[in-house]
Amino acid sequence: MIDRQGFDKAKGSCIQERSERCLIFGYGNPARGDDGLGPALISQMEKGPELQGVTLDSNYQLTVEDSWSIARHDVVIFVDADTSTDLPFYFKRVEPTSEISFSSHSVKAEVLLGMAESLFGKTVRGYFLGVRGYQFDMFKEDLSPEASANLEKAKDFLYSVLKSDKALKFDGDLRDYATTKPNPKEVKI
Amino acid sequence: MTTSLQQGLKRVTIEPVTRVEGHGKVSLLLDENNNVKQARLHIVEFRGFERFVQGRPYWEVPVLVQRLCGICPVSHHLCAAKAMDMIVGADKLTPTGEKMRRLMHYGQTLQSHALHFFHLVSPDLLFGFESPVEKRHVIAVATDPRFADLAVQGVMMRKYGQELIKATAGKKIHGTGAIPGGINKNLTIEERDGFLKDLDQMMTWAESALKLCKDYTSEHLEELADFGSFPSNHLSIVREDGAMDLYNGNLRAIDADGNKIIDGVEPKDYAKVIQEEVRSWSYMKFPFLTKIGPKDGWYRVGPLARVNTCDFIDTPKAEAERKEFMELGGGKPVNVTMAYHWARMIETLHSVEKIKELLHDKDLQGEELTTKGERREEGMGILEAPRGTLFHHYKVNEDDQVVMANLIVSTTNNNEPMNRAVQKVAAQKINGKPEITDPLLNNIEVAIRAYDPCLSCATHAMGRMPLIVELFDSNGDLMERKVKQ
Repeated sequence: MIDRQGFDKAKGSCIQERSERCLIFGYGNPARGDDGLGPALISQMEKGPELQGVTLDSNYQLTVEDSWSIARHDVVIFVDADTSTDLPFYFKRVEPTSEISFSSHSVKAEVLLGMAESLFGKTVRGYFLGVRGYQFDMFKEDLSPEASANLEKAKDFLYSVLKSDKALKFDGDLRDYATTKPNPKEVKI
Repeated sequence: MTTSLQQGLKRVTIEPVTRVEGHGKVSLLLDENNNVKQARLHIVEFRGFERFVQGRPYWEVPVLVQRLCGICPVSHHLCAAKAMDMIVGADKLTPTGEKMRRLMHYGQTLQSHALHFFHLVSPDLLFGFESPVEKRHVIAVATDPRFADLAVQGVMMRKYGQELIKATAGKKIHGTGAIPGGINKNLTIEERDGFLKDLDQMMTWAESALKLCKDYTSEHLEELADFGSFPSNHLSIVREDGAMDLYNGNLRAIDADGNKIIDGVEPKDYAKVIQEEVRSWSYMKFPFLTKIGPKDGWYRVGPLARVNTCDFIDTPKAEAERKEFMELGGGKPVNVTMAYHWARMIETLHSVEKIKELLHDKDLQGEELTTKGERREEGMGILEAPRGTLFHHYKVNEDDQVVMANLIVSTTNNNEPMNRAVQKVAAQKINGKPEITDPLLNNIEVAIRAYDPCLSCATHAMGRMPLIVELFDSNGDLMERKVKQ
């Protein structure tokens, strides 16, 4: 039987990871225009002030092994481009699921939370930060001006959440958040 | 959805195909007796990349191509680097350059094969092709006490491979490790020791997964032998001495009886032996062996083809397994489609063995990382990506800009075989009953999944997952097209 929570405890293991409180994971393909909003936000945050207890990560897509990284944290915030909203961005809770059909290299955030629970016995509080994008069709490495503006607003909001430490607490919750005029004060517990 | 067409034919459309990458669509054309007359697997493939790289400096290409596909970026990274080696005249890399690239490649193969088997295939094998839908999922595997460790093993093996990629490519997204003429870093002693610490565990898991796959295939051989199966040609690269080599070698193709069609064809000559056919109904081209022609010159690539085409495997555990596997064909190539999984697990074990061999090689700590020679204006790279043979071909001008790019990806190579597998399975299941049942859907998925296709469009933003539906009449003329956003 595998020690699911302690596989990486052996000193020096190549897959050892630190346990932190919050993981922010941006995903998307930077060569598909606004699809790269998630990685772009992570890239900008990596150049910004250091955030205590926060792990920043990015990839093209969410994949199954991310369930391991997620299980090393208490809170995870997924960041992705979105076309389903007219808002610059929105922020909402995502709940674990064991959805029956998924693509191995493009796993949904909800499924990863479910895998963290069922595979590694760790319940992780999950949030999704969706940032509105507009141009996806061609190989293009830059964000559109509109998406860049939305990214700035989403980043400001995210910093405000992290500074308040509200997203990292387990005795409260951030309600679903959506606004055309992002204002940190509107985020309520 | 069933639609009446001309000439008494009916088209049944099934979409999307789940648990394969990206989005696919299957359309089945029925005849007057409700038997399958024609099956077509439609895959959206973006070809814009070949234009995207035109005008860019050639040394940027190994990094740029990773953005082609979020699923197998390392394969494209290495294949482009191999093509650029030819451009810079690096006909033989330094030992450190070559071995660091191989370590990256075996790490990629390990993580990709582990993911496919543990998370996509294991529910089919453990619970059955036609088990209830709530069972056909990796979490069902994880929560079943009999198989609880399997899903975790899959995640850990995937993670191990990804860490190898990170250590050799520099980072897991937009890696820069492979550069024209070599590599830009070696492996530190600390990195090496970290990988060695977990290696025995990876070997044990690879062996147990292989045993599970082998036992399953042997026990169910009667029903699997004909499942989506057909005689076919097989193509891969092999080492000069005939050994399996996933990173470097010359092209070899054999027919269904094992006779060599082509052999020893160097990558620079690939266009002399392979052509691509365009068909009106498909976004993907249909490659074929020039020597045989488009009708019968199609071939399979990937694990099954590689185990069939090689003369031996140069690692002891995998070679012993290969010999046992080949007994299935009774001295001829194995043409059982579902044996792809068994072959894939042999390659997984081989990859772990090669990783062990490389980690104990001091050349990985060498300082001579690159080489170069006489500059050329054309370069071709071929390697065996997890899903099959991958071709990259570039031409550059005197200003170092790319002026031509042509890529043949693994899934494209398997285009015709996947269509045939779908046709065969669908014909057996429908058999005069024009309805889409769960068993029909499941069986079609299982047949396609054997090839581990990458149907990715690399754009996945939420709310933007277009599904394209096209209806053709029996003459191949487009009747209706719908895009579902």
